[in-house]
Amino acid sequence: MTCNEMESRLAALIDGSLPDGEKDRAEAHLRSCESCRKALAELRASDALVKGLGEVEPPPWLKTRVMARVREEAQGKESVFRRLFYPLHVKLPIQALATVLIAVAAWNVYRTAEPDFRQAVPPPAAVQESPEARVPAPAADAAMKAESPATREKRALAPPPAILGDRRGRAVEPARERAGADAAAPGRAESVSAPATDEEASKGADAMSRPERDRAARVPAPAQTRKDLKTPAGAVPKGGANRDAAPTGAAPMLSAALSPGPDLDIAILARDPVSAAAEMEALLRKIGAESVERKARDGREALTARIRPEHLETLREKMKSLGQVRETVQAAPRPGAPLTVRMEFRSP
Amino acid sequence: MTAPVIAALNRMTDDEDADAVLRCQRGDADAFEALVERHQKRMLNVAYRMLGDYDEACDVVQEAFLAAWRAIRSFRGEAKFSTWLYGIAVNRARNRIRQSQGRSRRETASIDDPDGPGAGGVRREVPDCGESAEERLEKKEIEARVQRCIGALEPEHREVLVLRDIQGFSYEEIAGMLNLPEGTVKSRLFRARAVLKDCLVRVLGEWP
Repeated sequence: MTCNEMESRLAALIDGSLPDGEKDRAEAHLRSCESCRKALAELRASDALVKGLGEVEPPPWLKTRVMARVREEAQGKESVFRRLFYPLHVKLPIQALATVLIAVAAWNVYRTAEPDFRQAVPPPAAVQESPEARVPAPAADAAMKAESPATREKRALAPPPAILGDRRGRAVEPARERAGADAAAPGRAESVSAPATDEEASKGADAMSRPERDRAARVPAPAQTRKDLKTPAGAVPKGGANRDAAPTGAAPMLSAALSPGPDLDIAILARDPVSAAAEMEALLRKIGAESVERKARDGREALTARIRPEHLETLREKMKSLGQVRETVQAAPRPGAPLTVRMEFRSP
Repeated sequence: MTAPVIAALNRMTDDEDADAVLRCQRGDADAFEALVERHQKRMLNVAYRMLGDYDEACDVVQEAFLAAWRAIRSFRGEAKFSTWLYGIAVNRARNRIRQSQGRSRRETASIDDPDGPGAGGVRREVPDCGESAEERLEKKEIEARVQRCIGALEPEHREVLVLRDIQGFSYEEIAGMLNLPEGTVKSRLFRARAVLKDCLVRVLGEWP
């Protein structure tokens, strides 16, 4: 054993905490090493000095002060507990405050989540309504009268025509403002408490036939303040005669004005939406489209991209080869400027 | 019943504080007085040897008792109450040391310490040959130098040395207080003893 190894062992040796085997080896080394013997003696003396240190007495006030604080806290805790739970006149305001806080929190969540809700609105609604996008308002009103009873029932959930007309008049207002107006509009109160309305609507929809239910569910479902805007669009049957005459003229225009939507919105009914979308994506990349984005939702494939106008025909041909195409022009394309195209692939 | 449960029960029944602790957990402040009475002196001495300052040690003990009272409901009897309590005190004392070290480091950053960082202001005495340390210095002066050497140890060395060599706690108890394995406690202690011895040799001159 070397002197270096001895250093820590000596410190262990003085209180007997060195294991027996090591102790023998350490003692053997000590017999032959003077400096280690000296170090051990110093360690023992040092230990004796440390152990011989006197003790200090606690001051009398120490316990008094500690106990004064402890008693204070013991009582304080009790009274806080009592104040919170026992006297009713304090409890009630707490409940009222809690209710208000919850309401404010819910409203905040509702407002901050609004953009998400907007995205959740099924885009095909606008696509389907494409032909009606240009239907003038009076025609739409006339069509409303011709609607089937079922559709009218659904429309009860939608804004009254008066409000619709009013809204058409200020289609380009910012969404927020319109949301506020809706909340204030008579007969639209349920749109404020959107999530609850959702449930009610879907309950009511159970009685309807399936496609109707789908549409009806979509009416209040997105739960956003703009529900009323999408409503006429979503509520219209797919491809029916009603649809063509439906009073939905304003809706696509509105949605185009609301969000920086695509210039072209195209729905493609393909047998295999996923691979169709993949093919289209490949083509888009081949023709050098910009900001190609693909998203899948509920078995639908949405593809957005910016293309040069001269590529539009190529794109259209490809779409036709992939499935049945429904096209909506959302905004007048500026000549020569890149076009934003949105394609949605779904099964027929 | 499993061995750990039995061990915990034994500890609880061995623990002279168990009854008072139970009453404290029910909110009985008077029961806490008995605990303060029983432990204040030893706690104060631990803190005093760690900090080297009587007033600061009193502060630390007060803080530790208050913290123990606030947290007494969370004491589950996994260790002896005293182990838990001294653990709180040591922790507080260690934090004080760190704070004052940080302060003094900022204040004396530009002053060179010829004895190096470990010496902590302890000055070497020129030994007067022929006289023993005890003859040259009064007992009080020797104690003061020993205390300065303890104060020059790193906090983690200081606490194990104080707990073991001055207060005589078992390795198991110290491991419980510091929440360390026993092996770590031992290796820190042996290192602390060696460093302290070197310091004492320096400050006491021809010694022993």
